[in-house]
Amino acid sequence: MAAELSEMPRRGTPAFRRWMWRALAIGALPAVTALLGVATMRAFDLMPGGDRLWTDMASFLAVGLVVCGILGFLTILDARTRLSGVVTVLIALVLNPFTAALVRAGLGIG
Amino acid sequence: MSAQDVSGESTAARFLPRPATVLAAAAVVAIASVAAALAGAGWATIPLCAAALVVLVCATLVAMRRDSHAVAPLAIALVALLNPLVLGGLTDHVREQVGVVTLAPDRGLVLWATYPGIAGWDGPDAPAAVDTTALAQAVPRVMRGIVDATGRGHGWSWSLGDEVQPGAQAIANGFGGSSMFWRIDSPRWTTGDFDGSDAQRATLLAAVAGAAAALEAGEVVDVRGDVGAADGVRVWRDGRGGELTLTIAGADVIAVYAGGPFLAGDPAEFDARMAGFAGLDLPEPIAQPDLP
Repeated sequence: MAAELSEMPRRGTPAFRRWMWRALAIGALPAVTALLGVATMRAFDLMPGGDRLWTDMASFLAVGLVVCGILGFLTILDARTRLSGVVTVLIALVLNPFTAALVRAGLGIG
Repeated sequence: MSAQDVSGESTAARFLPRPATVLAAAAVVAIASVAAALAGAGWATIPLCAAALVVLVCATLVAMRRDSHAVAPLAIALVALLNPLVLGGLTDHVREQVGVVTLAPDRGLVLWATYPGIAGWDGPDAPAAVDTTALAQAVPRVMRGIVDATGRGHGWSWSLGDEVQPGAQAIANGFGGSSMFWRIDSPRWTTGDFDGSDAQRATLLAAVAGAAAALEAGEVVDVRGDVGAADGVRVWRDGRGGELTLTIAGADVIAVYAGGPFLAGDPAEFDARMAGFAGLDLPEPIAQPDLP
């Protein structure tokens, strides 16, 4: 089984910690993007007059979503993280209040 | 990086699952999350989120250490999209923006926001159209007539209550949209200037009866007492759902009109829209229709 494994830095070294955090960050990127996308949609749903916390956070959530999309695009450049990057970018493009509004308008609903 | 470094990880690596195993686990979590969302099983949120997190971390490590370029990232994508938090947020968004959506085998997605009836209200089979615009204009005018008659004749001073929102409003269908029925309300006119004299009572009753006649409310029902002689509640009904209510309690007099549900469109259009929902069981409403 060890022969199938790719190289990684020795445990306990700063290089290993960097490697681990980078891997986990890239792995979590699609999920974080999806959560941010849905949260942004909900925050925009509640405008105007909704829960103040959500409506105040809406613009920050939208910026976070854009940042995730950019990070997703960057992860496409590495072959091992390409699919996660593509998925991240697609999620950011689909799960956001602007696309949702366009879809609803296109379908004539909502 | 030497081979020794890599073999030094063998203990941990032995527990690293294969990409296909991680993908299968992700599929199980995704299917369970969808099932929980459909069943509305809120209790499953935390366990499924924890499972999704475990799959996410495992899939990430597998992708990096086993050079899995497709299978492990696919598992990541699966749990990223199909987990209870994302599904719950999407469900809430759809419910808020589109209303209740169900799936019918013979007609696909059913958008209940377009349902022209009202959840929980059994209206007439063939409702007649009511000119709600004219009625909405007439109600404040005739109610004002009561105020003017008693104010001019006896110096009564009326005040407006804010218990109901006056005017004409479409009644929600309960599924996230508006029905084709409207309600029309007058403000709740209140005065405490009634001295109980026959003259004032006669003026009041004549004014209210005149208002009821103008609203074509000819059916008179004494709900409590007899306002013609003492305290009580009298209602004038128009037979279509409109009611003008007069309440006398000592020196206090309350006059209010509440009407509806009135069909505010073409009955043929109502029938055509209802035909689209024929044979379907009504889903659970997500809002309480504000019936008069």
